[in-house]
Amino acid sequence: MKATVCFSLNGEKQVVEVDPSRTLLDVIRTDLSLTGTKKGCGDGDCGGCTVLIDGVPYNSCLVLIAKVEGKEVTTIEGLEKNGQMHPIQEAFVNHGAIQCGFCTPGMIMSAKYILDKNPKPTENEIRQGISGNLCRCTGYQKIVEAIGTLAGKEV
Amino acid sequence: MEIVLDAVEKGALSVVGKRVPRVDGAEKATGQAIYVDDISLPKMLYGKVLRSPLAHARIKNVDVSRALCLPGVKVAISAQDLPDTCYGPFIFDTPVLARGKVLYVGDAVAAVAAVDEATALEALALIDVEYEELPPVFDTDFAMDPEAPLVHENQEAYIKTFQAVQKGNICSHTTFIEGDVEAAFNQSDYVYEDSFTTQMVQQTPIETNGTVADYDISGRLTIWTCTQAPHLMQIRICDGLHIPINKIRVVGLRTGGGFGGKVEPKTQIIAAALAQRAGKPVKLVLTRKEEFTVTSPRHSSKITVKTGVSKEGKILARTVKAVFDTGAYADDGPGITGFGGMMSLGPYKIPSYRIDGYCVYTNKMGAGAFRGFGNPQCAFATESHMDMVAERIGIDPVEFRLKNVLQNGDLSVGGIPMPSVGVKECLEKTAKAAGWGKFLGKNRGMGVACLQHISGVLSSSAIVRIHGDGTATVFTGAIDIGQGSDTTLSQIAAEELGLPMEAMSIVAADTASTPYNWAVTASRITRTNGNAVRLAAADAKRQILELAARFLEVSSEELEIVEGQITVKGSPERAMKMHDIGGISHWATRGPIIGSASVMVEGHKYDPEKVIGFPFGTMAGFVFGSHIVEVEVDEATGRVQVVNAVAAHDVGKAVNPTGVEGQIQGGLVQGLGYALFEEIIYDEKGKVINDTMLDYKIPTALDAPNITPLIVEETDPGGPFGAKGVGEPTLVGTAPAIANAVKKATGVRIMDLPLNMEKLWREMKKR
Amino acid sequence: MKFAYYKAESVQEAMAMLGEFGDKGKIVAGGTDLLVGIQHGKYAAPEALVDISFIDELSQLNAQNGDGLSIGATVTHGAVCKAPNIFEKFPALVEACSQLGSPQVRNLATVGGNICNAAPSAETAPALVVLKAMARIAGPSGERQIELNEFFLGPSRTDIKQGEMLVNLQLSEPAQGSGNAYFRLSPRNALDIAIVNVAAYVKLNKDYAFEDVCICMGAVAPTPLRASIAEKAMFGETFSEKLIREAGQLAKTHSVPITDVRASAEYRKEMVAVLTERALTKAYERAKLNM
Ligand SMILES: Cc1cc2nc3c(=O)[nH]c(=O)nc-3n(C[C@H](O)[C@H](O)[C@H](O)COP(=O)(O)OP(=O)(O)OC[C@H]3O[C@@H](n4cnc5c(N)ncnc54)[C@H](O)[C@@H]3O)c2cc1C
Ligand code: FES
Ligand code: FES
Repeated sequence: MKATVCFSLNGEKQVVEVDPSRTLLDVIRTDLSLTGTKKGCGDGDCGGCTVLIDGVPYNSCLVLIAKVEGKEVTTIEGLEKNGQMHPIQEAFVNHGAIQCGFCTPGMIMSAKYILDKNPKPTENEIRQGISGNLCRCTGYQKIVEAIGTLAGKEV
Repeated sequence: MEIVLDAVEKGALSVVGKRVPRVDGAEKATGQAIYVDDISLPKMLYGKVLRSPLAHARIKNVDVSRALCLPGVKVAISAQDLPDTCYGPFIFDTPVLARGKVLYVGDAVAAVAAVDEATALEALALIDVEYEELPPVFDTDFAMDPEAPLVHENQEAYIKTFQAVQKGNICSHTTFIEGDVEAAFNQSDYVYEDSFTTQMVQQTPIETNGTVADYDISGRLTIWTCTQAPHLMQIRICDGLHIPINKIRVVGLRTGGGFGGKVEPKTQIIAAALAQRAGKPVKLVLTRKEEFTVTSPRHSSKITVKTGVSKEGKILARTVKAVFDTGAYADDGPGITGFGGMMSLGPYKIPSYRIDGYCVYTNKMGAGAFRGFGNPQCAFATESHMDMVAERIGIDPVEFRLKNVLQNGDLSVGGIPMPSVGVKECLEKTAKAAGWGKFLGKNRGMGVACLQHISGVLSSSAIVRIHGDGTATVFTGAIDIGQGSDTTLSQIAAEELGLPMEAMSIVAADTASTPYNWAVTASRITRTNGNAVRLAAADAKRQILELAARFLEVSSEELEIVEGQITVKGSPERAMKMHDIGGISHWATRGPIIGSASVMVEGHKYDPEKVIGFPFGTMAGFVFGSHIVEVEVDEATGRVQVVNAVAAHDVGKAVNPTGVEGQIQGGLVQGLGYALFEEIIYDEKGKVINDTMLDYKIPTALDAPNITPLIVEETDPGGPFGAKGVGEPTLVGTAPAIANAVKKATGVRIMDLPLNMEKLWREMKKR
Repeated sequence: MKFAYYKAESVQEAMAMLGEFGDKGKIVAGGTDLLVGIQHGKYAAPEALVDISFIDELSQLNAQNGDGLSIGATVTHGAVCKAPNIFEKFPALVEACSQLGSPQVRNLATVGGNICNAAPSAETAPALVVLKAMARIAGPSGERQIELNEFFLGPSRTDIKQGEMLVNLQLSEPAQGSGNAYFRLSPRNALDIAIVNVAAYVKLNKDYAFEDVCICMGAVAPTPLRASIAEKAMFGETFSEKLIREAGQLAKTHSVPITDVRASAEYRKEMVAVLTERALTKAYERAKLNM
């Protein structure tokens, strides 16, 4: 069975014809070659595959592709503008929030939502907001600090 | 001998010691970094592995013919299709695919490559394997019983890289002896003995292991993979498939976390074997379930520590017996057991000791290197024991440690001199920052632990090339697995060359273009590989100055490089640009400048009467640390929350303080998971029952405390700019510090990890 | 993982699809239980999935003034947490929804799915039971209602029959003088499944005596379990630590947990007492503020 799914991906219209039992993660990585979104488990546990759908974070490994019909999907590739990193990406680089980098794309998507929703998050709100993104390298603190540096700033 | 350059004294450093943002930051922040699963090649096939459902069984027959008939299946192999050989780091006991017997649930029995994953999975179901079940051995006590079934029936026949002391299921027994221990115990005012156990925990990098392999018509094998050790991987593939090393290219990609689990082969050799037969690229990426059930976890252990002390609180003697469960294959087990034993005196001066480490086969997955390499297990035991002794003799735990800490020039276990020992300062700094001794309130407690580790072992090499425009590239076999070596090694080269960071680039870890480095393990890259990089840069610099001397008409000793300019010392107006030297060397005279260096940590010889069955040569770059944590315990449930943590680490010169802090925080949180809730659980048939990231629990952002990282810089004359290392030790002190804090908070001493809520609740109930 | 997929635009259409596929069809809401379950072989893979998450009517969350709370079957846990005014009256529900999984999971996972999946540890079940939710179920021959308390039949088994679906959960307005609360215990602070969870609802009369008590325990029986003996024991009594402790003990005796990889039966029993005390105390404090 094939289904036609029409959605916006990082601001561009996409029409894909795919087996509807596939997940959004699989389609964006395999069919659309956007490999920035990572698969750490495929079970909804690690948050490596986090993308924004209509501005809200989801584990794309649990989202059936047909569910994004008519939706706006943003992946890590959608954040930079004109070759410039998004301020969140810059903050991650400058504050040592990245080690192996495997959790980073998903982590940054969660960070984007945290700051979009609440421009001045507290430390606890930041920790809550990234609690669905597992990181085995950093111990989280520099990630929390990087996001914290953007509190109250235009992002 | 190690070559020692004039260390830090040479004046202010301009790049080393600075908080340089990591050079691979932008590509990782934007999703552009390429990890193995991001690779897709034309005509690529997908590999899958058939794994044993039984813990111990003889393989009577494997038949892949039905799988081969399935449309879309290109290759199906079992041991019969491979060279009759084994590989391994210390003991060559591991076949590429199980041969004759399966030794644990998950052992690789056969493998297929097909046009897509679904077909490959379907093919696995068509492979017929006939097993004859054998009695399994799951516990080291039973395994060490002379009556126990043998996991490896003919271990004498295996190739070994050291003089292993073996017996029955014991694949390696290491002993360290110093002084007359019995006499020292007799002289002691108090002697205490305590026994501890630690659990098996899994690496759990967020990226699972994986490989894309390709084998071309000329017999050249290319492996793109996540790895900590491209050069080591070449050797293992050579051993496993009998392909000569010169035909094997291993490309280390961005690696999504490696804490030891990406050193030894996981997918590489099987993928290579499939590609060899397919004539097409093959991708083999482990599922999360496989990552949990077949990759190399931290050894579980049983450790008994006995210590003799004087009335004044001086430690006079210690014995340690540590039994490590290495599972089905020795892997790094002999090294881990030996090294864990070596660390089991802790950072204390103990005149007489006897340490026995036993590495024991069982029918579980093969345990291996995991951040700390045996030290976390021994440190949990010995640092818990330190607190227990302090309490019994009525001394404050910090004071007790201070009375016994090592000092500059003391000898390590095995007799290696330690020129820079920063443990005292670490301990004092953490105690001060944490407010040791302050009133904490009900159900709260503070605990301390100290630690030692190493950061120099074995060999490395490096190349530094000066380009036509005066910029430079470092070529190193040390891969950046997240620990930040691309940045720190660039800093070291930039400092030595007198160039700014912007003029540097680094090529890390492609065996086709970068020189040999043993592996990214043992916290050794900054120090060991950093030495190679610094010497290579110094070599290039010498050549630059010699060339410039010809044009500036002075001797090269009178020249220096400052911010990319070659100037005559004392008369800065007489200068040449690096750009010009680059150009001249490429187009006019002399030829391009290439600096290179090779290093080996060597020198000290162990006394064969005192160090027996230890699989390593000498070590260097001893590092130290101290952790203090504060916990709050929910009295009714036994749930522990770590509310605050301070960790000081003596890293020598901190090449990149941000990177050091990141290592401290990351290691500490891994240690927290080890202490509180991580544990691989087996059922009675030898099958792992918690094989998802929901059931195997690594800490989330809400479980991690705020951590104050403190850097202590006791510089090492043998390290580049005085640097030592930091990767592993950051995890070593956490678990005993937490156990010690919980004791303070509750009065309950937990001697078996993990310190999970049900266990603590049970013990509290007995109070 | 391979199946056909159909998007239902209305409850009627969903009913028709379910009728057509019979036992080969399965409803998917968020899919967070279903997809993971299929992947790990916990369920046989269905041949067809009927996606109900596009049905507008089912995603409505209405807290009408004084008229209780209506939760459409596909309202997500995230939506419950974010909606204003719900915590004030139904804190137990928000406390449950906000502890489930992780932010990302909560944005996808539905309350209806949590209930229909019927795990013994289901996060929202105890809260919804003590809030006396009525489940509205659509079937081929029309709709029916059932108290949520009667809804659970066993692990992964509910009163929903083949061809039926849950459309809505209706909570009535909590009475004056009442309070409710929810507690769970798990090793991690996020991304974890409850070892034990307990919700409590209490209503006080004007003399501060317990006039209505409802305690529901999760993960200590095949289904969420009402601690009815403890409830009865508290009826007519006024708050005291002793009473609360007794209630906890009665809840404990009532519970019938199993030992599994997460905890032993013995520990669960003890913890159900602890959480019952905590939930009752919190609910009581809230009730006092609501006199
Ligand atoms: C990482 C992770 C963490 C989790 N943590 C928790 C946790 O902490 N606590 C917890 O309780 N759960 C947890 N879960 C499980 C799951 O997320 C919840 O149970 C969730 O509420 C299920 O909702 P859903 O919409 O995703 O259900 P689905 O997966 O879509 O459906 C679940 C089941 O219910 C049926 N169903 C769904 N809707 C209806 C309906 N309207 N009528 C009839 N049948 C229906 C489906 O056919 C299926 O059998 C977790 C899951 C993941 C992946
Ligand atoms: S890959 Fe989606 S949560 Fe792990
Ligand atoms: S940086 Fe490696 S997992 Fe987060």
